[in-house]
Amino acid sequence: MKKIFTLFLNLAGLGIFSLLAQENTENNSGQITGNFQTDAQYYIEDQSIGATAVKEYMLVNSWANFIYSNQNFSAGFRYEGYMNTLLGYPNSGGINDGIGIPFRWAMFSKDDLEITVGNFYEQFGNGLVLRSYEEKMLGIDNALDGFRIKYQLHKGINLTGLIAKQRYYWNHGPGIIRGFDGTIQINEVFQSLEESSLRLNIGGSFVSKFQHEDHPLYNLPDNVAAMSGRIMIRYKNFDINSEYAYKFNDPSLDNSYIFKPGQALLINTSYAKKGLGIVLSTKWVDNMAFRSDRNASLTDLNINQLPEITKNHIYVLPAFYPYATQPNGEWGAKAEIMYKIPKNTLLGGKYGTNVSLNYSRAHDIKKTQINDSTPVFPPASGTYGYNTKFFSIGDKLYFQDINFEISKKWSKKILSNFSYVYLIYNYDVLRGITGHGNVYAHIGIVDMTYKFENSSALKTEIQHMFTKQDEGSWVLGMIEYSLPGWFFTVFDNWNYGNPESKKHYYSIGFGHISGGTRIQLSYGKQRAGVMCIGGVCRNVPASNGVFVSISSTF
Amino acid sequence: MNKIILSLSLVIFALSMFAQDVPAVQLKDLNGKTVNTKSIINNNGKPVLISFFATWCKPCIKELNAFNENYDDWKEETGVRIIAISTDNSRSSNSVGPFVKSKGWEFDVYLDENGDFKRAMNVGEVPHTFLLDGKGKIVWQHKTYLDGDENKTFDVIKKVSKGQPIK
Amino acid sequence: MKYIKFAVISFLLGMFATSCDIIEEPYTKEGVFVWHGRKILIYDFTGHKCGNCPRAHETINSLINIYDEAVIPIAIHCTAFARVTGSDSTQPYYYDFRTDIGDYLGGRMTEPGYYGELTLPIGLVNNLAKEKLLSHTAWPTEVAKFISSFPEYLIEIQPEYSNENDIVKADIKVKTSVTNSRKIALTVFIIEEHIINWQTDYNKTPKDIPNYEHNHVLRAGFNGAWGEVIKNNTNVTVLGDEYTKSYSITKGNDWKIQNCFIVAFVYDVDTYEVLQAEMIKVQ
Repeated sequence: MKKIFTLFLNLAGLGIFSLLAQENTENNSGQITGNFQTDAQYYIEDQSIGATAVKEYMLVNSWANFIYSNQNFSAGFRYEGYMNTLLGYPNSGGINDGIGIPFRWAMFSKDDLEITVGNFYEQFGNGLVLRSYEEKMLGIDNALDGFRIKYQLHKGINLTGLIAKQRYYWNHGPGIIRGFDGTIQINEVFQSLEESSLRLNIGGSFVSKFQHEDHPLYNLPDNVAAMSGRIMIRYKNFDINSEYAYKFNDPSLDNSYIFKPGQALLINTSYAKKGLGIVLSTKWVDNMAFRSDRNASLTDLNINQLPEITKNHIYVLPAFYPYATQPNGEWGAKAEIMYKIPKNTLLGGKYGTNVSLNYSRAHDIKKTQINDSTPVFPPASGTYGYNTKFFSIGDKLYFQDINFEISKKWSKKILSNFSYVYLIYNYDVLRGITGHGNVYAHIGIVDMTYKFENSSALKTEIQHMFTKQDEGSWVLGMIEYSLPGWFFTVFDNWNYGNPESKKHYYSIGFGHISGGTRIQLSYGKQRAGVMCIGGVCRNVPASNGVFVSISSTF
Repeated sequence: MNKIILSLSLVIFALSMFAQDVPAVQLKDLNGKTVNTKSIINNNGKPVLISFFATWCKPCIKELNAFNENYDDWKEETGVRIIAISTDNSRSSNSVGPFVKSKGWEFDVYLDENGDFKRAMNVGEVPHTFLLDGKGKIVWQHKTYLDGDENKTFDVIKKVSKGQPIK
Repeated sequence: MKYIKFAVISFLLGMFATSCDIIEEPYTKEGVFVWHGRKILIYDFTGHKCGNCPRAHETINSLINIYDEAVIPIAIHCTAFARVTGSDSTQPYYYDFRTDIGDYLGGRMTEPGYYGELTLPIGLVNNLAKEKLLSHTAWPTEVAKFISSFPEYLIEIQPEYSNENDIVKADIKVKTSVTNSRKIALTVFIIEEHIINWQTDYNKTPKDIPNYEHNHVLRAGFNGAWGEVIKNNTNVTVLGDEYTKSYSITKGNDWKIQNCFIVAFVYDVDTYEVLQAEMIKVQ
């Protein structure tokens, strides 16, 4: 592997130099671009917060991408090294540790055709039946490895076909994934409609996975198909975007080997004009976990991704209790209003004031017994499972989030952001345990920035969370001073409401940014918790130590 | 291992020596229409600023607000065109349009739902901003946003629009 | 170009045509199998505070229903899920199921063991390699893969227990039944059935079960976690070759000897495949 890698690099280097020699003839000069990142943590044992040291003292995750492109052809690879994997990343049995090139690809495109060989990412529609993606900070990479063809049949009609296996750490999952997607953009297809204020897109996907097992107990389907249809209608300022998905019998670890088919519906509607945006969304999901290995769990080998519609909180305290889609059954709804109070009004001030109000809620769905002897819960493996009416809403609350945010610029120098969040978090369901109960949390946040003349700035954040459940109340203070290319932060998160011990989680750090390069160094304590990006979460263990991150795009 | 390092440094050294093109990737505009990156970076020989952001990313919003406040002045002085690329996935991609409208941003916004353009441009985290010269070559880039960074960005845009070297 | 277009469209439609298997009732089938005497070893990494681990125990029970004595499960309590709350026996989760071998293989508290940082429940079926760790729903298929093959070895265990000094003895005889040139090792464990104690079960309300029946619980090893190499691959064994070994350990204070079994198995040191396993009651 190493030999191949060196060879590749040498060739790449050579290629570039030969290109440089003919720099002036622009027409055939291919280019190589890339980026790399390395995250390292030195661990210190700290029993007060439950942080452990590691035998290696220090763990390092790193990766680098290289992309070569020349007119219609491009190719690339990603070199990854986990020596060993940072704590909290998926690494059961050390499966993620190691170095290698798990991602390499070549792509050729000409006119209306594009062919990819090797690894690629793909999303059909909203991802209800297929979404392959990577999220390095969560250790998720369900890249496909195979062949993909994209073809434009006609202006506005695009087809995609693929056949692939899925990345599973340094190997592949057992299943074979075959997928097809077609989209038709009506306004593009018919020239007469090009300027119409009514816009219409329709699309459909079909995905089938193959995994053979000689199961001694169950007649398992070797081929499991899922399909979806979607539509987008836009008229002036109104927009409706909806997708429905259906999955045939797919007994798996996720659904406890029941044979019921799955369904999902997602509807997003919105209204937008200058200074105002309104979004109403709802979704309904039943038995829609879809993986290329029926025995996979956690974040492994997902073929699809069911998007959350709740707000993605980025401030530290509200992010303590994040929502994640429950593929075995959930109903959710969201309403969001974003408004900019105009400039030069009483409330708008000189620059205008942004306000937003967001409400979301998620429940279970109504499940009924298939017969008297089969309980709905715990699920009875080797049966149909349960019955449910489409779009039924159960009584059990999974999650509720009411939040209100005001961003105001007071002057050229002072910016501020105020938020209030009220969360109800069904700890048992969302963390997959029982006996913990709901968490009710009120959170207030004040975020102020003062800009100095010389492009430097002082940013402060005060957050307070009041809750009687879980670990109790928290207060967080953060100060960041920045000047061009540099920033310094001091941070303390105090769990003063913890009945057992009132712990401080402090951290200090600084960073330097120069063009496409960033270097960051910090020392501090991190609370055990859940970190989420785009609705997918991982458990992060408590840690104490020095963290270094270097990233660069070239 | 030494060979690898040598080769690697060779590659990186060689890379830093010439300006890059923007890769051709399909994006969606806020009307749901598929567009190619090659077709949106045309600005009649004037510079183009491409900014990757997400609606949940606070520094991104600060940066784009700062750009938006200065957009008229910048356009007048340098002819620059700003393009914002939303990396929101399907959790929030449907809200990008209303979000952008409510902020009153004047520049064009495109959706890169599954990160294809982000990856092709080797962007790790948002915000990440690239400046293209009049020929569509990437001549400058900047990661993250710290308050006041827009001043530096504008300095660079001015130089590029006049055809001056950046440093 | 026309041909390419044609090829492309047929390829895309081909994807579409790939159908789907729709299973009609009954979803289950009779566990019928051909058996030539090969016994299947299962390591079930578990913990009394692991609320999803009873699912793996259920899988094991369903396997015993089909295969009876042909499956030999070993429940290995390990990781932070096996932590105890203290030694006060009036408190839940006071009882310590952990063993040195379990801690070494699966990790103790937050310290990862030989198999790394394990996410429970997880297990190994007839192969001890790290890469073969499987979630419990994958175990039945894995058992089915091995169950009908011929055993390369046969194992005889002669147990002996003396009340006076609490010594458990095991005389093991490994007989070759298929000529081979493997390097093999013999591992001998003692396990206990029917231990009634606390267990977390997320499918039950309340989740804390005071009188859960813990079965096949690993108690100790006679010759370590990886056993002892009894034959090198330099020499070929032919049909009928025998290896005999004798081991003994002292009974733990809290073991009920009438519920204890000796488990012996031989595995290929290079491939980690378990070639044969055997289990016998101590008394």
